[in-house]
Amino acid sequence: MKRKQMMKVISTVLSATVALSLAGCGGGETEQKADGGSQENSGTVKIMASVTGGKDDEEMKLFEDALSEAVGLDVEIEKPASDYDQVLMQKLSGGEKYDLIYVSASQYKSLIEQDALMDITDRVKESEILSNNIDAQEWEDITIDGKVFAGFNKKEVHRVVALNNTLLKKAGIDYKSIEPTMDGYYEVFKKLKESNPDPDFYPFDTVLSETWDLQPWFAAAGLKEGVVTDENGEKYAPFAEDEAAVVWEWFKKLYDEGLMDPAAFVDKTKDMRDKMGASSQKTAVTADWVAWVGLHNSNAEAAGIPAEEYEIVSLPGLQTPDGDYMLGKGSASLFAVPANAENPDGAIKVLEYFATQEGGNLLSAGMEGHDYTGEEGSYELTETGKQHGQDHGAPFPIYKDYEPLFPYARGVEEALSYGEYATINEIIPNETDYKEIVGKWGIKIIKGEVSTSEGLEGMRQELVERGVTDR
Amino acid sequence: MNGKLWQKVKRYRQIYILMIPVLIYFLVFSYYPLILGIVKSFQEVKLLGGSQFVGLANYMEIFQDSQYSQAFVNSLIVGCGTFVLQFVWGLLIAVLLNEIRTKVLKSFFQTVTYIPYLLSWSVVGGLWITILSPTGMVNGFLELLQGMDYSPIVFMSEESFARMIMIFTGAWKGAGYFAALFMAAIVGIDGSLYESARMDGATRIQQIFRITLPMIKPTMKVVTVLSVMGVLRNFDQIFVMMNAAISDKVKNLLVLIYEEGIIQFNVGTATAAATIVLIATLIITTIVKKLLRYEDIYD
Repeated sequence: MKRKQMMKVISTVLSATVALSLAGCGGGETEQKADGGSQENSGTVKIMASVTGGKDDEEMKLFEDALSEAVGLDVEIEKPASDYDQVLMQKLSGGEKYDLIYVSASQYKSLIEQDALMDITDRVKESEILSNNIDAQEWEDITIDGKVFAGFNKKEVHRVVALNNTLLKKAGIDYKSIEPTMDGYYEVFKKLKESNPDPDFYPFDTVLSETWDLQPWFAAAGLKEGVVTDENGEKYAPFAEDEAAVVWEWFKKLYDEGLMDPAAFVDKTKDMRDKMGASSQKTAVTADWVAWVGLHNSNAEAAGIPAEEYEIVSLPGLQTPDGDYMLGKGSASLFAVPANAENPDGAIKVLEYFATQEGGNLLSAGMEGHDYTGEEGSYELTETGKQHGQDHGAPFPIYKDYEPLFPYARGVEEALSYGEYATINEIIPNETDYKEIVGKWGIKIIKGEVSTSEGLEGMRQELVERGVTDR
Repeated sequence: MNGKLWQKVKRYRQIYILMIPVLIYFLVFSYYPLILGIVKSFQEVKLLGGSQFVGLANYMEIFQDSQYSQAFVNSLIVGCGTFVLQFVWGLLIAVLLNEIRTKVLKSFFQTVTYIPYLLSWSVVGGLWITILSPTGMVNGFLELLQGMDYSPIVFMSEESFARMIMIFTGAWKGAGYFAALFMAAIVGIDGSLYESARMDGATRIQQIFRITLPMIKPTMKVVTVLSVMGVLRNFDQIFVMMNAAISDKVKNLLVLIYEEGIIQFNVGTATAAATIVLIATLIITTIVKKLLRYEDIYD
């Protein structure tokens, strides 16, 4: 009898707990809604960011406060610690509402196809700041069927050929006099290899597994990276065309003769950069972002290595048959306005601020008093600021006349000067497939597993099969 | 009949009430998402709503796409290969550990073999990529054997090695876990059986094959069924270790679902593929259970 009574008591308590917890959940929901309502009234802008903002929670709060004060709105930024793409997808499909979401160019195209983004073309046209402070070409690059659905996180700069000038000098080469042809660079690689006793040193490195920037090399055949639409409206990949054979065969020659790092088949960009770094120097020539030319140099300086012992310089790669150069510009990293945004006007205000000198300062140098101190003309980076490398989402802000608060790292100015040769790739939703297919067949060609013509045929066929190209 | 059932429900009502939280948990966190996923597999899903039913179109797309059939084959080969090797390896470790008489040594080896299981695939994958790199340990060893003329092999870019590497590294990581399960079963074997065998003159090998292995058969069955349920669900390892050069041989269904659903936002197709993985897992598990006479372990 006692046991029965006890069971009754336990079951009653448990049932009550379940009921209360369910009621608790309901209460929470009501509270959230009430909060949401009040925030909406006070002008909240909710942002889902990937790279923009503070480096940790504390600094993110400072960033939010600084941005809120600047735009006169309550700015809330969510920055997932990892797996941004996954979190973004889950949040959007779960009905979460944001006013701005950070997207890559490829995601931008996919989300437009999903009707998930708001057309802000008219708002952009009406805004003097957005129209005048940003290059018209930038807007053109992200215009899809005459419409714009996003603003900019930062100015996308280009990639250049980065060279270890110290090793070049040791090999008796003046980098300014390198002949910008396949033969010219082949000779440079040979001299570098001969002058370096390290058996693990390979003069040339790239990341074929991800079809990392090959544009400076394919310029020799005058071919554009990525997917291009021809005059008939058909998409094709120039690197898969027969004209590309000569460059793929050049890569094969470099590989066969031990001038290209064989790890290029499997390495990631991080590995390539590590090998280019001052502490390793296992390679001497790569293609990388303008910013990385400076980062290699400033990292070496920070480690107490003088410029005489380690210096990275840059060149615009191989010359095209017309005597020009071709460099790859980064696909836009954008802040898009979701179709269900509750405060699109607030979102535009934030985008406008990002396109000003002050907004650029915040996105690059960081927060005054935290990342840097002093007065105009005599600012100094704090220890925290130095650690953050003048990057709070936009090392190169989108404002076309932006004046950096601090001078660029050594080598950056030179690398930036090649910007005139850089163009953006056509935005495609299945960029991952493109990179995988071109990389895979390129590796087969270089390793000699298939002939160049077979490899290019296979590349074209698979690109069509997977819907990346039309021919 | 209904009256009898009602009587039973009434008699055990406290137990049924106690089950309610568990039931709610499964309904909310398991069955609701499952059903939602299956429904979405018949839709063209728009991220911000407005999805439309498209019948079997997503499934047809998958069945017509050679990438999915290749990924299914890759999932099966790598999944089954990993399971078989891990099973044998784990069993071997357990049997050998059981032969160690010093307690400290036994714990030491058990810990050493179990540690890889505790590490995430980003650590284990990175470790093996380094070991197998052109300047890694394996190439260094081969160079020692073959001299300075040796040209390093980029193992991670060789299609012929790709599946073997995935199977080996997968088994290496999980063998310690299987060994722990088998060890738990081995220590539960009645010691008098070994004593009788020794009195009858049985050797250690005979004891292993005649007593140890037959006695842990039920555990082997459980381990097999649980593992088979995960054969098609290997994501982390392939995601971390795959590259373009070997993707044809190792890219599996879950990686493809991730690319389709998360990267390209094709949620309808991705959920259809996920539903196929679920159904295939159910079929494979049922067949394996029948073949093993799994229900016998309850006798």
